[in-house]
Amino acid sequence: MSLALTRAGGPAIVGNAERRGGRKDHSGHEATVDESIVGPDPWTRRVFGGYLPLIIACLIIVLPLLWMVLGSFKTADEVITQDLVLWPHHPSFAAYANASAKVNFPQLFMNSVLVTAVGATVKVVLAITSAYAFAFLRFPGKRIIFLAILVALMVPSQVSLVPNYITIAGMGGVNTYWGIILPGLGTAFGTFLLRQNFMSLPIDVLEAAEMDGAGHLSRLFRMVVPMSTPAIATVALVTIVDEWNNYIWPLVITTDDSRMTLPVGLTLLKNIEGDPSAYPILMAGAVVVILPVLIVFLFLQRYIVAGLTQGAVK
Amino acid sequence: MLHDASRAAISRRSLLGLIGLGAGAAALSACSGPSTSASGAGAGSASADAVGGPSFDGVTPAKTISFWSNHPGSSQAITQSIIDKFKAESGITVNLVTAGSTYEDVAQKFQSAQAGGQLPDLVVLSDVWWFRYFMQDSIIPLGNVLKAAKVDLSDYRQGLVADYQYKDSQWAVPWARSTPLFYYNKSHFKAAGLPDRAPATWGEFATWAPKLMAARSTTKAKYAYEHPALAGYAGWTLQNILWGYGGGWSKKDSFDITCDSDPSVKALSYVADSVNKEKWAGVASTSSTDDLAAGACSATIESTGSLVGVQKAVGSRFDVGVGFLPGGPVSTKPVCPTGGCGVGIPKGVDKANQLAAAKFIGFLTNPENTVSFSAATGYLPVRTSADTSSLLAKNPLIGTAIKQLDVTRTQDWARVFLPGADQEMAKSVAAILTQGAGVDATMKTLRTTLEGIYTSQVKPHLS
Repeated sequence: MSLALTRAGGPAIVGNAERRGGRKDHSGHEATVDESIVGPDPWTRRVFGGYLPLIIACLIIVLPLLWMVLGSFKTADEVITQDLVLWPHHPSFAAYANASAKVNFPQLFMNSVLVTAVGATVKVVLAITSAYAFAFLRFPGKRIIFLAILVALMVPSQVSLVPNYITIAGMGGVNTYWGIILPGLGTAFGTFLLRQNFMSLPIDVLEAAEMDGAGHLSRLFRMVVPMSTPAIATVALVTIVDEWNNYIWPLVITTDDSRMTLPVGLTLLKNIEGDPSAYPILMAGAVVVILPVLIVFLFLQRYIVAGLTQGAVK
Repeated sequence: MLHDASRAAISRRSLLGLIGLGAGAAALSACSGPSTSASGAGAGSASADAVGGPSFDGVTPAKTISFWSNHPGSSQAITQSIIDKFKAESGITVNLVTAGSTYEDVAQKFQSAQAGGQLPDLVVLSDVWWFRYFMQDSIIPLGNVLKAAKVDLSDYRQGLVADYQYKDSQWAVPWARSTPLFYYNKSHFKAAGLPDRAPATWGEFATWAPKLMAARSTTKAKYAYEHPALAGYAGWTLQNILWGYGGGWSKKDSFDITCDSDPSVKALSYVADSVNKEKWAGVASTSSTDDLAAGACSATIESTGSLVGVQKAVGSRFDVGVGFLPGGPVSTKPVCPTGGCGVGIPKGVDKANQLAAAKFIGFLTNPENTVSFSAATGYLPVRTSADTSSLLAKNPLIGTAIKQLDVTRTQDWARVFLPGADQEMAKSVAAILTQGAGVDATMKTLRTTLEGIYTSQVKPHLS
């Protein structure tokens, strides 16, 4: 309050007692009406409580990415140096050219896009439908099955690596697209997250829809899905990033670059013998891998925000 | 039928049950964790008829084989061009498979393939991994197959060939081989008034280091010397100092652990003092050659495989000098360990493929190809008859690395034959250098750990 007093000055001084007494002088207090309802909003609090943490958090996330992008345009001796070089002196695409000489980016990019698109779509559809079943349907063994899914969530994927490999190899899936995609399709995380979200939806809306004669499918896709856009967008985003960045399974199941995904391909840029001259090339490769995910994120985050601000029931 | 969601909430009891299930899953995952020696355990003694391996009489080589590599030294392009030449000469197609970027990646992929088929016909074997494959009985001894493929090992550098010998058998052939090398910054040495050469002994360098530290105002270096990054390098490069003092991780050609012997403790005390007491040495976090190239340290030890990259990254800022690894008070040579990787042939693939793989090994490492491979990667030529003049003309510094091959010593078994020992060594050295732990006590603990690994994971496979 004291901060508000020092800032407002003149007729805007609004101590509690004064406000009670000064009600008659309506016009003089018009500007402060809002403040008396929502409380004072001093600039210090706005900066230290709002903008500053936001800016710091953004910088922590953005600076390494920015440094990576800048680094990819530098020469090796500008990266490996004791004198800080912020801006590349001779910005060039040499590192990108070098990286693409070593890695067949178009092919790997195609593979990654295909695996991610198919894998993530199937995963999200499975998650939505199974979550709907767990949230709104009654069937025998429902809680047992749900518990089993939660247990699956707790098993680290490394544990299932070898059994998965044996199964897929036995089915002839080594170095095929379906071999890369199939074992990852079961999605305990998406099912769990969406079920929790669906259960928080107002049941009245769905009952109303049911009374209007809506079947399960139209209730799911016309009621539940639109009301849960933010949660679904979150699951989609996490799934897409997961699929895109997945490394160990595509590494194990692919044998050549006709089926290899980008993260596996990046290993071609890394030299196990420490090579100080390779950093710009590594950063260029990383930029190529990260860019598509960033674009997908920019696209999807609109839905996440829009969803949060939408009211479900009016 | 709409179902009231609130009734589906998980009761407390079922939640407890769930936790139990989760714990069960965790225990399960602990059992089936990355125990690298598990899958071959049933095979028993790996080397019953090891000496020459299976017979290859009357076998004709296959037309297509696969080769799993992690492309050490960014070697994909040069390996592919050697493969293309091999195809033209022999008609055999070799599919070069990227099996990851580290030797651990290759190991994981190879391990999975052991269980599910689809084995490679030729696989990269690093110095610390081949013995595990030998124990698991998943690679074949190469005596007979090399004979059938007419590959003669007598022209290979014997020190490098000996790295893959156990129980009178040859288990791999040297391919991308390196040694540590002493790197120094020539302008820093000049500014400190030091001779333009590597020190002959670590004792000599201890007298140089204060001068380098005194010259820091002009050189802007942080340390006179930087110990290589501990993870991955401590176990390897410290053998140099240990041997110089007459110690070692284990006795020569034996599993007798000696890391807590007097000479070993003295050697590691020298290392600890350089960091903790005299403070002229630092410890690299990931790569000491990065810091050397940046001018942050005046000297370091790293693989010869980094030489070309260091020169590129330094550009024209200063001259890089290289030299033999310094010796110690007890021994000045041989005090240089070898490193890098070779290639071996898995068990369980067709003999025709194994024979074709052996033919390719011979071609991959023939005198001409080992030189072009060396020129492209910085690894060392593995053949004695290789004509290295073109390498020397292109890069005089590599001559020092090649000459050092004459004074190498086969690595301590404790490091290369005990699964996971390298990490244990790195952990112990890190405790001494970065947490100030006592050398004597830490090495006693390390000895117990290493002996435990030997008893539980190695001894049962060797009887």
